Amino acid sequence: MKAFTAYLMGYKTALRNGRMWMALYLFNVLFAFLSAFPLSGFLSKTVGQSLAFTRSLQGFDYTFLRDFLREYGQGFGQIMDQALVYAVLYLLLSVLLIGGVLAVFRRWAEPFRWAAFWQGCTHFFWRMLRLSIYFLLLHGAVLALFGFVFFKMGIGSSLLELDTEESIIRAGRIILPLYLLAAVLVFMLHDYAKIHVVQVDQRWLFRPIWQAIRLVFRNFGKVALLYLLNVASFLLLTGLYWWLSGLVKGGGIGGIFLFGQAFVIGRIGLKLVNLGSATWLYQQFPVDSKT
Amino acid sequence: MRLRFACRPRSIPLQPIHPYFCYLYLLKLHETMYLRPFIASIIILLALPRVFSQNQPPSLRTASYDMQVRLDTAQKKVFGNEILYWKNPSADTVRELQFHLYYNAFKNTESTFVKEQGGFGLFLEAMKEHCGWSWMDIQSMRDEYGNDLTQQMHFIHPDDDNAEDQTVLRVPLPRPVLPGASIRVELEWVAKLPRSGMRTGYKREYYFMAQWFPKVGVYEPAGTRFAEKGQWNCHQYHANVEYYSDFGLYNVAITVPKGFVVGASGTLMGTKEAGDTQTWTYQAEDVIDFTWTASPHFVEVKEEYKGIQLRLLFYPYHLHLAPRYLTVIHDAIDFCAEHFGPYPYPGLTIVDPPLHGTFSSAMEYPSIITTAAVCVLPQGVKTPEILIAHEFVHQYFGQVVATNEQEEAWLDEGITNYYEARIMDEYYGSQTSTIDFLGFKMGNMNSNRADFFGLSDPQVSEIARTSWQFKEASYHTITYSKTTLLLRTLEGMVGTETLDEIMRTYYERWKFRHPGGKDFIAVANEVVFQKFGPLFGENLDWFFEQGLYGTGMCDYAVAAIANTPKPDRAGIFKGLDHCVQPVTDTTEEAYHSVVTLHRLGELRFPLEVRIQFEDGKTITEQWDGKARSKEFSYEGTTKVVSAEIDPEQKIYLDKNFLNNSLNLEPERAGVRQRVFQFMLWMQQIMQSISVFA
Repeated sequence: MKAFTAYLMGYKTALRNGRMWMALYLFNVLFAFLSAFPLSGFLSKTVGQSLAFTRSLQGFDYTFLRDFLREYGQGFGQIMDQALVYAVLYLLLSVLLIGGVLAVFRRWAEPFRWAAFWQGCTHFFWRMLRLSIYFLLLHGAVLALFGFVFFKMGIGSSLLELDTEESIIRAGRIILPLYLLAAVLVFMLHDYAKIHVVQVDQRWLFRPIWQAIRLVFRNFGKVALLYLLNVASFLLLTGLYWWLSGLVKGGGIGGIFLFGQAFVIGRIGLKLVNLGSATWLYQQFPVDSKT
Repeated sequence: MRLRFACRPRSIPLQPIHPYFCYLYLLKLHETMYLRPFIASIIILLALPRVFSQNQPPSLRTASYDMQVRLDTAQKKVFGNEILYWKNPSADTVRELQFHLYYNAFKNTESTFVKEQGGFGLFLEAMKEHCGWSWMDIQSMRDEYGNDLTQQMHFIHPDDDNAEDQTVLRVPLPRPVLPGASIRVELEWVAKLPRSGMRTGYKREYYFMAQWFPKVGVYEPAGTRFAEKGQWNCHQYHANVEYYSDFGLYNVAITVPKGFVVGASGTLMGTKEAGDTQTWTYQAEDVIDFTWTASPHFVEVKEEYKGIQLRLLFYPYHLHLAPRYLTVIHDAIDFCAEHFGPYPYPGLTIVDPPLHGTFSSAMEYPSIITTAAVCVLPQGVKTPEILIAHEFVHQYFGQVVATNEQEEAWLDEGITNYYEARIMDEYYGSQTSTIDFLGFKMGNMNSNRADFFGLSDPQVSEIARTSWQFKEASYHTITYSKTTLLLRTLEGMVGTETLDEIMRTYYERWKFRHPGGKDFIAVANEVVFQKFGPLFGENLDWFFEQGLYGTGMCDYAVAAIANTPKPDRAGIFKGLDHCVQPVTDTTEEAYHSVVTLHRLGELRFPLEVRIQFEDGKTITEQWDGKARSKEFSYEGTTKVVSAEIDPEQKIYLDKNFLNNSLNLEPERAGVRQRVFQFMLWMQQIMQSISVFA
């Protein structure tokens, strides 16, 4: 029951901190806008006056795409490189903001204050950054491990020596779900490690990480159920988006854009729900289980 | 002169003499004037039944074979007894035979094939590891007079100085073959099979036997293709080339272990079991080759479609793909029958190799073709459909119109590829016939254009080039894709109907023969002139000169649109004392509009230009496309708002369709749409990667 209560508390927490939610969304809009802005001038200058461009707006046009990439790929590549830089910067920004979010959620019953938020951001930034790096490495290791097992199970020594492709598919059917479960577990551990670091506010990281792992495994049923609920919420939202996006196509680019923004706001909201509910659940565990 | 009309292959039914051979004899008889009336009468009498016969074979049957072969699966060898019946198709006395021994291409690392292949890649590694090298050893060869030819035979290398290459065998004949005469040669040979070589060999219990027996080359009489005098055309086995051989009748008895299923060219005449073996006997008429496959794991799907016996051979885990294969083969049969003529053989076998038999995928042989698929292939990925359509069209262009794929590969691969695209686009949609998966769409003709212009240097080679002389791995793209674009451009110029008529005429005229590029061009010239007169000039040589023998690129662009307000009429016109003052028409402004077009590439094609005016009026102009710059001017009360070169994209060789048009006003709403879309994607991507924060 605690998991369900935590899940509901997550929504409550997210809604109570609507200003923070909007701030996160605006950061997202700002970075995406900065990365997309150069495209406007580039398209106007290169293909903006071509009838082929006008026709390509009707749907996916492979011929247009190939001609465009061949003729203007270099310029477009620069825009893509720039967008990649913005994406990395956004990741760093997210690392910064997550400390603030968790600091606010630590005192979830209190009203939202910008000062507490920004203080949390700066106070925990380096620890959150290190945590992100460790868990990125862990994700890489998990991927490599499952990739290796998949290769050995499915392909063996060489693709050319394989009897049939069935073994690849069979291996994929077994390995892929296991990998997804493992990846989800790593994400979950990462979340609780972040929460624990903010809650205990220790300078060193390895002890809190270890404590967070122990906490998760000691309360695995509740933690996993809550995570499952949050993942299901995300899948539901994504499914709804794909289903409804077909319907809003008639609304023109304005309609599609606004609908897309609603989805992004929803995704950010669910992220807050996930962290809020996990924080609440964390706070319900007895103190001895956190050390 | 000794006439040997009586010499008949043992297993070939006695048939009247083909009129072509009679013609050769008549040519040769000019030296024996006193016998001429007498012998000529005999020849004509012999030829008459042939002329009126309904059952005459469609080909000359220059090289026919009787073969008994045994597959030894333990030793990975084939033991063969072969009788070759070879007719001299020329007016020359032929003093030697030349044979292809293709399996020697995989004998070691020094063969021309392996050297050209650039180390042979992964296949070489596998061959090295498992000692999967192959060879072909002729143990005895005798002519019909009992002469032992084995002692005199030796390897030659007509294409390079590679003394290590053993893929062409020269056999001097103690008794030459006179014009139009035949020779029977008996061979005993053993072939060690390559372990997953290129296109042929074995892997596990899958055997695919292509180019697997000593096969005589093609003797080209003077006037055939490039031959100025009679000569053997028997090239070494090169990495980029496929094959060229003569038509014949094949009777082949294949002995395999019991339990194996055999598929082969031609018609199954029967099977016979003996001990642990089973012999499958096939007959293939008027074919240029004989290919077979065997495996104990094959499952069969059989169907008759419009009188054609279809046989599909699968490994069990691909059986669910059968409906896809049958759908596309029905489409291809219908399309080809409508556009060229009925399928010329009684049956067709489609082999779907297992993953470990991929080395044999995507190939065409007489009445047997191979495809490629994996068992979880999404419906929207049309790879097997494309391969089946392609290899089926090869039955017409390559197998029946038997061009030389070593010297003029575009004639079969290029034409086939073009019609593959036509079939796929017609039956699977022009924007979705290659891929229609997860929102990504690609048509077959589109993909050919992308392939060709995607080359790092599309000008590296012309189409009409000997296959092994293509550089920088451009053979495939130039031969297949550029030829496809060239034919698509020809279709755009003369119309689909005329292009199909060219192909139908070419097929009808050259089926069961060996035409060259010049023969195809001659047909195209003839058909186009008949239909259009001098509209495209005296002939289309200018077109093929640019497209086939040149490396120039095609790129037309609308450079500018200018609408200048027309100045008021003023000055001295009629009387020298009468000065006309400017009169401003306040009701309507007049414009002088100029559309400037540029030819940026080297190629020149006639094309249409569509001009759109502000009031909605549209004009279509014709431009011969020759000048580097061309202007169209207009005077009137309405502005030109857009211009487009080749609006229907008839000139498919144009490398950049984006600059073919110019809109006076930029498409601002469209730019906004794309920017918003891009921004939305970036928002999603950024939000997704933030999970790692």
